[in-house]
Amino acid sequence: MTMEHFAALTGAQAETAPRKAKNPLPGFGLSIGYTLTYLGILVLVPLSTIVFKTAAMPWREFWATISASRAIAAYGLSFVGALSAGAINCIFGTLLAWVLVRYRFLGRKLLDALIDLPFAVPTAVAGIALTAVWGPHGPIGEPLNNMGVQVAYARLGVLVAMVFVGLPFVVRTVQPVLDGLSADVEEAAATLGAGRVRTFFAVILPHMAPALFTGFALSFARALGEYGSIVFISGNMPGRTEITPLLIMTKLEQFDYRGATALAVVMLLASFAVLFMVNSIQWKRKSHSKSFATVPRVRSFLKG
Amino acid sequence: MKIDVRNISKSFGYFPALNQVNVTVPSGELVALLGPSGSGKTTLLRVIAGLETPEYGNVLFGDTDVTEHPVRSRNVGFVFQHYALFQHMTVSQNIAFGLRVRKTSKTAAAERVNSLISLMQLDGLGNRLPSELSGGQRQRVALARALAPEPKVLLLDEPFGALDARVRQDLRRWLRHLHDEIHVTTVFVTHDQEEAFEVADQVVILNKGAVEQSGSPDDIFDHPANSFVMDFVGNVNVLTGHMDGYGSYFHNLVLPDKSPSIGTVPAKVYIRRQDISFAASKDKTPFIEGVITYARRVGLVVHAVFQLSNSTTSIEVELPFDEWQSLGIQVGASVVAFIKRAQVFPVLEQAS
Amino acid sequence: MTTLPSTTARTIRTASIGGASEPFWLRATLIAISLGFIFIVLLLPLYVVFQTAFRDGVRTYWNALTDTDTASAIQVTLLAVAIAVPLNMIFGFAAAWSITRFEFRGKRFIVSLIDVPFAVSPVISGMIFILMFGADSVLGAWLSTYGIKVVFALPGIVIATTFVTFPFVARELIPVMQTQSAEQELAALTLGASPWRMFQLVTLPNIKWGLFYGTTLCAARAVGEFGAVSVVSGHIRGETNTLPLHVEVVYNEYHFSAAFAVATLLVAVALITLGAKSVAEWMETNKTLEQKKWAMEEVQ
Repeated sequence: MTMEHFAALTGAQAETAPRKAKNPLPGFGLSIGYTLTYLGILVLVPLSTIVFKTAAMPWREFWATISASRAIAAYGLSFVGALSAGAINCIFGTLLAWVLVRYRFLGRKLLDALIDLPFAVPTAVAGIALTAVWGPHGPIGEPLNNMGVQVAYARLGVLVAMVFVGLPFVVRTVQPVLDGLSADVEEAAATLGAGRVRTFFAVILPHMAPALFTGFALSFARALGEYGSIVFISGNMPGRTEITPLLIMTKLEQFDYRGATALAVVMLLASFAVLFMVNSIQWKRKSHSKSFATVPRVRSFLKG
Repeated sequence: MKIDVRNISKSFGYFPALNQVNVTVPSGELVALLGPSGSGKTTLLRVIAGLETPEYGNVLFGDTDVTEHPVRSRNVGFVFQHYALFQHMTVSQNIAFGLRVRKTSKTAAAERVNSLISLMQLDGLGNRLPSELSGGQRQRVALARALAPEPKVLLLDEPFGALDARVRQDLRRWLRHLHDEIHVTTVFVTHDQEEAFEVADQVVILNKGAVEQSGSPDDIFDHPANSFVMDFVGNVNVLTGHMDGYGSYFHNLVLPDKSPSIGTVPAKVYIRRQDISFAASKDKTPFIEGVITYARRVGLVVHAVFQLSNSTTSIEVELPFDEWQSLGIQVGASVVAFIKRAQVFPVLEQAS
Repeated sequence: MTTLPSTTARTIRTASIGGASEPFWLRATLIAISLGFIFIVLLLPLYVVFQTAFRDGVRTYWNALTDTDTASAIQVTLLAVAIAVPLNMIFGFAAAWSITRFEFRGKRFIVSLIDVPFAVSPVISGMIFILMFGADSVLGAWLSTYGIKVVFALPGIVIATTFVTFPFVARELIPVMQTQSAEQELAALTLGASPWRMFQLVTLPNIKWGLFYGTTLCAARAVGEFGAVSVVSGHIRGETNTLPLHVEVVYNEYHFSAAFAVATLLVAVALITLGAKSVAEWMETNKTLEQKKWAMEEVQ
């Protein structure tokens, strides 16, 4: 039957308005109503204050605030720190995911559970604990200090805290992809004469590259915004070990709300750009990978 | 309870799922909605259940218009294609669900559940979880659960679709038998014509959202209303012929189908594989001559291909092995074929 | 069969471990590096927390926990949890129900909005509420004429906590409910169940482990949130300090063992969360395994 035929037949019925399609499941009005009200009050309205505050600010003042040398130094530390932490986490995160998926050894399950520790431990606790470990009198900080390497109250300390908070993101995004990689692909590579190293770089790495990048970006975004664990270990010296969120905090404590807002806008744009990239990669992955379903769980840990 | 579907139309976006469909299910009958995928049969079943809202038209249970009634007050028993059993409940709890939410007393509910368990031959499985049952058992639990609150009508969506061939055979007969016992008005959806013909009192054939034919299985088999039905029901050869005011013709053969037409028009000739037989001599008319190009025994029957002389047209034939053997013909042999029965439909000018 | 890649892949791999695997020395080295890394980065800090907490004896530890300021910090924290968690549970279910069971325009926008607290630095999360309710905002000025103080007071802490923890339940429930089709709920309706009975008898039992874990995460985060709460609290000792803020205050006064003593409470919450995760995952894996077995049988 053609479309015209259909249209002609229903034409007789078209005199009265069609019934609206109705989902037989109950509660749509109530649930969407609560959801929208909640999101409106809790997210949209508060976020819009940033827009209003920024709009009310003269451009010259805005620019002066975000381009002050102290701010530039803070961006630099946040950015380079988050980037380095992301890279370190990619290496160790992949290693951990590999070991957890491929090998069976005593304590594997415990190790697996421990990976989530940085998600679960409050950032303030992480901050003081890391300071105690890496500080001048700590079990690792002391020997390093004797060798002339200062970690706590220096830029290295910022890096240590950023590695700590970002580690689970890489492990938890790479793990399911490695788990889902079927052995026959590797075996095929092996029968074709490829060695283990060659197989890893030619077969396994390309397969997990999107997940690795997602993990990197999530770890990076988390490190960029991190506050609690860093403020204890960094020493907070303006221009040297002061991260951007701390600078915002300082301005808030001085009741310089406009200055804080201006810096917040810079940070928000940076993190939204990162999340946007992650999402576009995930959409691509979704089309050909079943392991996508595990990503939301990882993401729900973000900042946790 | 009689079901009356009147002028139902429903579309999903631009896709017309149902187009002015009219179906009547007499009280206590077992009716099959048969059609290929995308024919709208499942949508129609869901409209009757109240799981979909039709854009136009009405659904009546008896004399009551239930079109606007919500699902839960329609009192229908619905068996989902994948059963939708409550996985965290035991078999007994699943069956008792409809009674529990209707606040039936515990003793009455237990009694009803027990009688259904034995009726459905689920004895001893009451405390199992759905995950511990076989496919056929899950099917019967779903049926028992739907029947427990004594629904006015029972609706089944591809009830045997997810089962393997042998279980399907058994359950088919068992469903027929069950229906003869409880006589609840039943509608089931299937894409398998054999299933529909074996189980149902009445078959409704749907195609592209419209009813092509409805009637008893015999009626549909013997008098298909149009070429779609003929094509869909059974394994047929579709050949090109023509018809005029006196009869139908195929390959210089006058066919036993007498349907006349106005003027001479091209026609499609439908011949079932079983409606052709062979002979070594030309003792019956009408006959056609040709060569056997392929033959293969499949159990008790032989599948053969018969190519017409002076033509590229081939006809597929299925005949009993005994008959084939007694004829003593081989591949490559010239034979004479008789057509026992044929259906001819004029080829209409088509817009599409 | 395509729904079963992980289990089958794993079985095959274990069976063929000799065929495409690394030599023993390499495996041992990789495991050793992993364990060493985890020991230094994760375990050592955890150990140091307890070591420092008990450094000056059990009595000091106990005194730190029973201090009046600690008690008040616990009270403030519990208050924030008691308000934020139920609100976010309801939100999580409402959002997951509407997103996974209905089609409507703007769904993707809503899903992205749910991610906002994850994308925003905790300091900014606190800041937006200062901008909204602070003394120089319209709303803040209006509220203060009625004597209501939000920022640098309890309401601010509760609101900031609610904001940073609201995605957790929704984020757990959405994938869980997406994998379960609506058929069981529809079946309940055809059997005559009212919306409430359908929710209570069918929906809730099917999502209970996701809900349990999401709620645990939400509560743990509500207890442990530092940055956002730090911005809005005003750090008034004995009044607007939550447990993490109290840890900071005590630490900055150089009472290290007392600070770490309070921190052990928060570590305990974290360990409970990890335990809950393992339990919830274990329960869910069992369920999915059964469903997979089921699906397998149907294919065969």
